[in-house]
Amino acid sequence: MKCRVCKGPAVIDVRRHNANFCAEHFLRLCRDQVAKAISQFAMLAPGERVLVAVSGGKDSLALWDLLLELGYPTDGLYVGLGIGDYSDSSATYARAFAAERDLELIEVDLRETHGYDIPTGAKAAKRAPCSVCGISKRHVFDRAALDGGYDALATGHNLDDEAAVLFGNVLRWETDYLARQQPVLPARDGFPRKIKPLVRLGERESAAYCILRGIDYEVEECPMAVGNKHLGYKEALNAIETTSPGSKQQFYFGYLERAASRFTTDEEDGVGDGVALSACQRCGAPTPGEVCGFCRLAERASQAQPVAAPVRKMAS
Amino acid sequence: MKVLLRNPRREVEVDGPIRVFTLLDRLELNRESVLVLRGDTLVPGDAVLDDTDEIEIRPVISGGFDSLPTLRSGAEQRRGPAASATPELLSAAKPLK
Repeated sequence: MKCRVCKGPAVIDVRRHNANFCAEHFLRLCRDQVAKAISQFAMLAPGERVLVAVSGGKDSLALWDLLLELGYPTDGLYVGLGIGDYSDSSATYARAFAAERDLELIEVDLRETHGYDIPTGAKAAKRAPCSVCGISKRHVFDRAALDGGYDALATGHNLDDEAAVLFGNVLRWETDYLARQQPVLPARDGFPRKIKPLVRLGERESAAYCILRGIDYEVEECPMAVGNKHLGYKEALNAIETTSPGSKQQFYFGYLERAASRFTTDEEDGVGDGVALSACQRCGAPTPGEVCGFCRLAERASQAQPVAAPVRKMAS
Repeated sequence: MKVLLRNPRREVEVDGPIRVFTLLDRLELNRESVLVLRGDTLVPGDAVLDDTDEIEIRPVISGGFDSLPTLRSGAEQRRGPAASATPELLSAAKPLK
């Protein structure tokens, strides 16, 4: 395999671009794609401060590195989810990345700060762990971004993530959620601007970026995500991608260009779908009720008996 | 050669020489879903692996997602409570996606 740019030995194929790249030109491709996404969707103006939500995984660490490469002032935010040794291990990668580059990493531990962890919260709420994790992280992310005065909160959602979510929303015709599936959600009262600068990179590319940049990341999957629907959607989309490279990109960007506007609501960003929001009586976050879903979850989960996280699967 | 697989972590022995893409086909792995490494180095798909190589096949699919709606739409609210949902948790969370 030869690099499309320099004709030297390639280290990776990117079939949806019908091209192979050497390390130098693959890294440049990643930077260019992120810069293009930021520009295409007006995510950031030069010099804006960004809070990067980091999990210790490949996407969030690649994102942090790429934003630094592009010159944005950034801090990281790590949320301790209390998922046993998986969380312990993930935290070490986030901390090491920050320490090696002398970067600020804000840490919020769910149990220390809010009195529960994800395994306990999932059992107490009788909800899927990923759902409880989502509610919890969104609350912590929003609060930290607003309190810190950041211009935007950046998450490591990549093309595969967005295509899989779109696939799931289309399968069930979740029109309200289709309206909100945008690479940028503008700031509004109680919510920071949220951006997804990796939407033009696949997760195979973000993993390769980390390897080529020497970024160590958590490779093992979260033990609580086993059987998650979106992992199945990703596998299904990759099966299609194998025989028809570029399908995921066409699916997602075709949606944004030609279909998303059909699902938007009266509100500018579609968030809230016409539901009147007021301040949560406990935390002040926007909510359609008196007490927000996060505070209700935290109240219930913090009073529950702690639940141990499942251990990682290890083959004999 | 020794081949390290992940999620769950295990090792298998495969005879070389063999091309990377052929190895992935033999293991029934989708090339879109993995990277192949020799040490810390990416190995391209057309490379030939030797019998003495020790390689890692690293999955790249990751992520659990909040797979159910957490904020009911205005229309759903007008229809009344969702039968399968936990009302307390449906009341306020704003989906990121």
